[in-house]
Amino acid sequence: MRILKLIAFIIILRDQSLLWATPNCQKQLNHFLRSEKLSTKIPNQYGVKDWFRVSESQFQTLKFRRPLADSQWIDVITDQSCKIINSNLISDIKIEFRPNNNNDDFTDEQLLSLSKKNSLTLIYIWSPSMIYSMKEIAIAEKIARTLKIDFLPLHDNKYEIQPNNHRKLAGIGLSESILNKSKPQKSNYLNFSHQIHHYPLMFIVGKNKISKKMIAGVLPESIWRQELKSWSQNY
Amino acid sequence: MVSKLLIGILLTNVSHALANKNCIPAYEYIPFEGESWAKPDPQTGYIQLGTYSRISPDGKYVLRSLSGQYLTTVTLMKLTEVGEKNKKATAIETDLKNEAFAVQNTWRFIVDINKEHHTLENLTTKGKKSKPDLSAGVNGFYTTAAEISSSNNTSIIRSLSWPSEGDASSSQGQGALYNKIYSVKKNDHNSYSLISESSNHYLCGNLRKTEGSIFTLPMLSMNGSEFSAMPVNPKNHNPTMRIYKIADNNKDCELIDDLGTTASKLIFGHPRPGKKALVSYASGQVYIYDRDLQTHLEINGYPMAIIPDSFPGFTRDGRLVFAAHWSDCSTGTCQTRSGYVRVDPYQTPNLKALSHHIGFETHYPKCITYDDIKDSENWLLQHK
Repeated sequence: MRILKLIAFIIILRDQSLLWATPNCQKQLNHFLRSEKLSTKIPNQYGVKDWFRVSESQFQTLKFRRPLADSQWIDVITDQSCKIINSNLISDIKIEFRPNNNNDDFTDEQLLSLSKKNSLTLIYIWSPSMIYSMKEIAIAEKIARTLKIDFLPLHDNKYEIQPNNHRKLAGIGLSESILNKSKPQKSNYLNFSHQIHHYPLMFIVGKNKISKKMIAGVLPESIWRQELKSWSQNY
Repeated sequence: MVSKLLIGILLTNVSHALANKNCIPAYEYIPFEGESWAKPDPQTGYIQLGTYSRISPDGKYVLRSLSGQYLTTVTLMKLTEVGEKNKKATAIETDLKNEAFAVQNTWRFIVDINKEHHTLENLTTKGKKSKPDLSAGVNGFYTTAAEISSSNNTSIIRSLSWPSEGDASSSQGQGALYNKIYSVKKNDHNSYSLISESSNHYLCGNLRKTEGSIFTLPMLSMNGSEFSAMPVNPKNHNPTMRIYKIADNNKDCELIDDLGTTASKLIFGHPRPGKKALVSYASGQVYIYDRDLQTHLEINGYPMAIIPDSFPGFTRDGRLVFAAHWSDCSTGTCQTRSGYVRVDPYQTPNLKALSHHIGFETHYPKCITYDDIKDSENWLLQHK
């Protein structure tokens, strides 16, 4: 019986060691990542000091990510006991490079430039794979016009929008002017900060800020109008 | 009497002989091929894969909305059985509109956006000629519904959405999610009629201070007791995907889980004894979130690389099904194919590694067996 109890005790201990993603662990990690000591060592190109939690591909890791510069980012990965795997964060930072962009792509540079403008821009990201994101784009543009803020459509970069498809897409709700304006979304920062999993995705940038508030998916028009009005007025 | 006994013994032996505790294939690819609709949509230039795919509890059907130029808007895709060699999807066209949805749990009904309820059997046998049995529930878009319980030929259902535009009865202002509870009775000849229907219950007013009043991407759990959604204006300014329990008064909510990340629509699995139901979402790849361990697990180990292109869905026995594109290099040259991918998540490397780490492989089963699938099908037959 004692042996059975001992085995049960060991199992419980083992199970507890798995709970690395508990709110407590996340809180500890958040505190560390936002600490003054760490912040001073990391370049702060965007004026945003946030770390973004990323879905991990392995169960034993908890991953937070922060954009560094245009083509670089840091991943901070913990092990299952909530310890940061790299003992020296700065020397062991993982830097990754993305493929070359075309001139037409919407990149981090362009995002940064938009965010520095004194006026506000509503960014609307759509995808040919999500038909609602195409059908409703005209409504979003109309709301932006009413609110007197700029409107910038971006699209899912998995798809190339061929000019000979423009007329067909117009039938779904994408006007020629929207299609001409739309750029492939290739900003790493947006991929991390807004974690684009669903289309449409809307948020506002400008006045030295990239708003973290966003609307994913389609809502009744009145809600879009109400939220965007509130966001732009209280930006 | 003796002959009945002999037949009984014979049937028992046959059923034992037919028992199949073998694991199903870990990964199956069901391509769109050889059909007139299996080509790129001329309107968009891309193959339409079913943006709003819903998976039946037995994994035999995918309810697919906005199906592209070659099919009716809402199509039921019938998939070949697990383990069959010639895998294919057959389209059953319907007259349903836009984003029709299934009453989760049993799939007793498929519901049109005007609230008309068709039985799955009527739709699969009569297609476009199917007639609705009843009309009930809410009629906003993105509606989600689930069967809460059933007994004595009576089923209780919850449906949830936003008020439709211009709904003057809205006392909570536009934007608050609302739900309705209704009960239906099965008549003779397998038809159904509505017995009772509640008024509108607006949801989560009690959480306004922390979660705000607007939620996006709502999805009910299989038995309708919980729902997943992203609050647009949470107090902590971090709009993450969360799971809320709906109180018995059908109005109040309790925050149960927070995934810590954003996600596409979060789809619930069927209940698991002693554990919380798994949930799944697509984010570049398909993920499972284990709510008991607060762990995100990527579904991995695919023999052919995939790009998911729909929300995933669970069968009752735990399989994951989703629309995807994949690279098929089996003939020596690689070709992109499109269709459905069916996965036994318990046989994927990440879930196996987690099971192994916990020890004794008790957290997840080793695999889904052919018997598990048979059990799902039998359960479904009893809930038709």
